Amino acid sequence: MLRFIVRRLIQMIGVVVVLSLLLFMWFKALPGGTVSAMLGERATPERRVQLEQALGLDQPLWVQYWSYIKRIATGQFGPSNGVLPGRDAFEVFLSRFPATIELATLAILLAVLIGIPLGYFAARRRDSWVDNLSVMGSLIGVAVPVFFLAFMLKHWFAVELQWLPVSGRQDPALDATRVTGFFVLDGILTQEWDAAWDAFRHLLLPAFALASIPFAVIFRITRASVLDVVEEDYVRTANAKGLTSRIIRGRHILRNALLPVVTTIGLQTGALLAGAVLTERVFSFTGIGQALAIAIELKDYPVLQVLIMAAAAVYVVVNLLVDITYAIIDPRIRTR
Amino acid sequence: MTPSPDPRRFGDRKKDRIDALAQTTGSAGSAGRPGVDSGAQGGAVLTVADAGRVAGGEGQSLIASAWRRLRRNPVFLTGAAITFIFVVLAIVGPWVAPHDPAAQPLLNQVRQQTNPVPGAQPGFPLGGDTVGRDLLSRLLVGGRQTLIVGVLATLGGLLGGLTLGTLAGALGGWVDALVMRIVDVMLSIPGLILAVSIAAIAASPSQTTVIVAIAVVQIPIFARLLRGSMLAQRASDHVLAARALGVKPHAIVFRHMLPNSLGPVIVQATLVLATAIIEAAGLSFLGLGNPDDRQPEWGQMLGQAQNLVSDYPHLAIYPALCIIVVALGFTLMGESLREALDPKSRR
Repeated sequence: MLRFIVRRLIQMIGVVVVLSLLLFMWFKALPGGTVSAMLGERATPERRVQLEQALGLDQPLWVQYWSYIKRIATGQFGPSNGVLPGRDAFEVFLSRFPATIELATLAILLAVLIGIPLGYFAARRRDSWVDNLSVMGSLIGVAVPVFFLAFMLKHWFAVELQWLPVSGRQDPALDATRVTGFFVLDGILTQEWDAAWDAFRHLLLPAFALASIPFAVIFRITRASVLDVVEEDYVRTANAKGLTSRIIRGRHILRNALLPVVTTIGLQTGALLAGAVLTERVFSFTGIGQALAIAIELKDYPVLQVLIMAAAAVYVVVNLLVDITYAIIDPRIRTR
Repeated sequence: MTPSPDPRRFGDRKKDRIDALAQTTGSAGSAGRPGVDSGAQGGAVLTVADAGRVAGGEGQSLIASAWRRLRRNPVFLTGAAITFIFVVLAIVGPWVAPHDPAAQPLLNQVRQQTNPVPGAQPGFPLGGDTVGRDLLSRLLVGGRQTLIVGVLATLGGLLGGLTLGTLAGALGGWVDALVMRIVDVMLSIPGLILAVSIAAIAASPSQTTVIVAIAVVQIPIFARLLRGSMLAQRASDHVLAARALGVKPHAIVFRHMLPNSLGPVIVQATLVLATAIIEAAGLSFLGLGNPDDRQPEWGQMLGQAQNLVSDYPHLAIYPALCIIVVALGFTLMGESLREALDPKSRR
C-alpha cells in the first residue's frame, strides 16, 4: 500500500512538472509575451526593460524556465493588475481560496449524499416511478446550463420568495470575526452562531446550482453500475448462500458498484471548479471562480496563472486521494 | 468436430465461436438461459438444430438486435425526434425565419434608458433584442451554429480520445504510462479554465477557438474511459480465450476489446454533444464566445442576455429552453443507445 502511494506521488510530480512547462510556454505565447502579460499593456518602456532584466528574459530558454520554476515554487507570480491591483497575485488566490473550497465541498456533498442513495434505490427498483422520475431529473440536470440554473434559483428563491440571500458570502452587518477564511467554520469556532448560519444560507443557492452536474453524473454512474453488479454471479451466489440482504448490499453490491463512482467523483472536481467560475459570478460570491471571471475580463494574467495552477493542483491532489481510496476498496489496483 | 477442408470456412467458424463466447462472457447474467434470451428477442426461433449453440450467435448482429429494440423504445424515439427536428431546423432555419437574423427592423424602438428591449408586436411574436433584431428569427436560425459547434467539438474530442485510449489500453507498458501522464495533465486543468487559456493565446475569441477549446477538454475523458475498460478486458476470459485460440493481437484489440469498450464511450459522446453546446454557452457567458453575432448561436444569445436577465428574463429563457431541449434530446438518445448496444441488457 505504501509503495502504491509513493508511486502515485512520483507520478504526480511528473504531472506537475509537465504542467509547469505548459504554463511557462503559455505565458510566453500570450499576446505581447511575458512582460505585457505581467505589467498590462500600459506599462512604461522603463518598467518593461527593468522587468525584462529582472526576469532574465535575455537568457536562454532553459535558464528562463529554471528561474520561472524557482519563482512559482516560492509563490512569486507577480503583482495583480486587475482583480486587486497592486496586491501579489498569490495573495489574491489565498484570500479567495477558502470561499471556493467551502462552496465546492458543500456542492459535492449534496451531489454524493443525494446521488448515490438515489442511484442505488433507482437501480434496485428499475422502471418504477422513482426510477423513471430520478432518471428524468438527472437528465435535465445535465441539460441545464449551470449559470442559467443559478440565474433561475436566484430569481425564484432570493428575489421573488426572498427565502435566501441574493449574493455575497455573508451579511457585512454581522461584522463576524475572521479566523480561517472559511466563514461557516469561523462562525462555529468563535461561537458566533448567527454568523455561521448566515454564511451557510449564502452558500445554499450557489451550492445547489453547482451540485446539479456532479449529482446527475454520480446518480447515472451509480445506477448503471449497480444494475451491472446485481447481475454478477457472485451476487447470485451470495443470495444462494442465504446471506442477509444487508451484507449482500454492503459487501457484494455497493463495494463493487461504487468503484466506477469513486473515479467519477475525482473526475468531477474539474467540472466543479469550472462550474464555480460560472456560479460564483452569478451570485457575486467572492471565491477564486469569481476572481477568475474578473481576471479574464481585465486580462489580469498573473492572477489567471495562479488560478490555473491552483485549479490543477486541487484536481491532482483530489485525484491522488481518489486513487488511494480506490486502492483501498479494490486491492486489484495496487498490483498494477 | 472434424476441421473443414476449406480453411477460410474453418476460420469463419472459429471467429463465430469466439464472438459468441465473447458475448456470453460479457453477459454473465443471461448466460444461464440462452433459450429465454433468443425467444425474448423475437428473433430466430429456436429449433432442435440450434440446441447447444450459444445464444447471441444466431446470425443476428449486435447492431441489428440493438435496432430491433430501439425501434420500440419510447425514450429513444423521443430523443431521436428532438434530434431530428433540431437537425432539420439547423438546415432550413434561414428559410423559415420571418426576418433576416442580422437585420435590425426594430432598432428605432430601442431606447437605452426607457426601453432597451422592444416588446412583442405584430410580425414579431417574441419581440426584439437589444439592437432591434427579431428574437424569433434569431432563435430559428441559431440552431445551425449550435449544431456545428456541438458536432465539431465532439468529433474532435472523440477522435483524440479514441486514439490515445486505444494506444494506452491495447499496448500497455510505457506507452500506457506516457499517454496517461499526458491525459492526467490535460484532465488536471478544468475544462472551462483550459478554454480560457486557449482564448487568451488566440488574442481574440472566435467560433474556432470555442470549438477547439471544448474538443480539447473532452479528449482526456474519452481516453481515460476507453483505457480503463480496455485494461479491465485484457484480463477477462473472452480475451484470454481469443488469445488461446491464436487470434492475432490486433484482431483481439479491434474485434474483441474495442467493441466491448465502446459502450461507455458512446454514452460519453452523446453527453458531450449536449455538454459541448452548454459549454459554448458558458464561454459566451464569460465573454469568450464568438463576438461576431451576425450569425446567431443559442449559447451566445444566452450568454449575451446575462446583464438583462433580471428585467427581461425572456431573453435568456428562450435560448436556454432551446439548449435544454436539444441537450435532453441527445442525452435521451444516447442513454437508450447505450442500453441497446450493451450485450448485458439484451432481453
